[in-house]
Amino acid sequence: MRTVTFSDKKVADLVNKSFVSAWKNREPGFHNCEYATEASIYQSSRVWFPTKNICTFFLAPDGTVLHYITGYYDPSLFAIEVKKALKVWQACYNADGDAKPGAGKAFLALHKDWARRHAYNVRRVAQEGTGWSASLGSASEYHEYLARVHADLAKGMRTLETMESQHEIGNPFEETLETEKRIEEARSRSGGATSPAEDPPTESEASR
Amino acid sequence: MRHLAALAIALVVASPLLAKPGVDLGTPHDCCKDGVPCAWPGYQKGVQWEDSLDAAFARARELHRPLLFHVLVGDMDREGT
Repeated sequence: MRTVTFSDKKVADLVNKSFVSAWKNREPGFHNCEYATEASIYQSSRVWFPTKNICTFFLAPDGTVLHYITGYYDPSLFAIEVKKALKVWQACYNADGDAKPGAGKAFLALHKDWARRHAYNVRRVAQEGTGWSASLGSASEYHEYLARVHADLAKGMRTLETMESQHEIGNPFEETLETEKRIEEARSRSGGATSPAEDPPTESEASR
Repeated sequence: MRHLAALAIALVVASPLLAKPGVDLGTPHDCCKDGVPCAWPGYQKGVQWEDSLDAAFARARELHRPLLFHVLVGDMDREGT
């Protein structure tokens, strides 16, 4: 991701303009010393592949997970996910970074819609035989994975720790506990603002 | 026609991959300095990273912006789908 996607100018401009970014290596010092390998990765044309050892979370300043993806995304696909996260952010938070009234409902509506769209695309790609196909990940698998991610997010707004304690789709690693601790600290420093995660969906929204 | 197609394929296979802009692939870099890993030349040309997640949260609150938090796990045994 860092070699290709995060080095892409369009992605960088989009991210730098709208987000504050942090990077964490679970194992400090991990890197690939082989220049040729990295250059090869940089020049490869892979589109997407799933792997849990690369996780990107989009978070609100109060620690709420707006969106998350695991695996490798090429710049064009990654930009789509960045824009989704921005859409959730703008729908759920105001210009001061506070949760809007009804943020929970807006959050669910967006993720349910994306889950539906990706599920539709799984069938469409299969029927039409379109999209890319590669040993590490096909278009159909990409849509299937994202349909699962959005369906999971559509369960409600959650913090990183809460989400991970419930399933294994998100980052399953220990450093997220540390993240949650920092998030709690951030919340306490900001005066314990109410998380929009506590804004429950209506009955009709939950059963849709 | 078949000869032309074969020639085209041969040319594509034989030609080097086009370098993407922004990185000088012709200059190998030092991978380590004093035992500390160095960044690959392409790494620092794109997304700007805060020094820590704490710093990112503080800045996000200040700017009223969301955060992008990227986690890399080096242990490939824990890779999954």
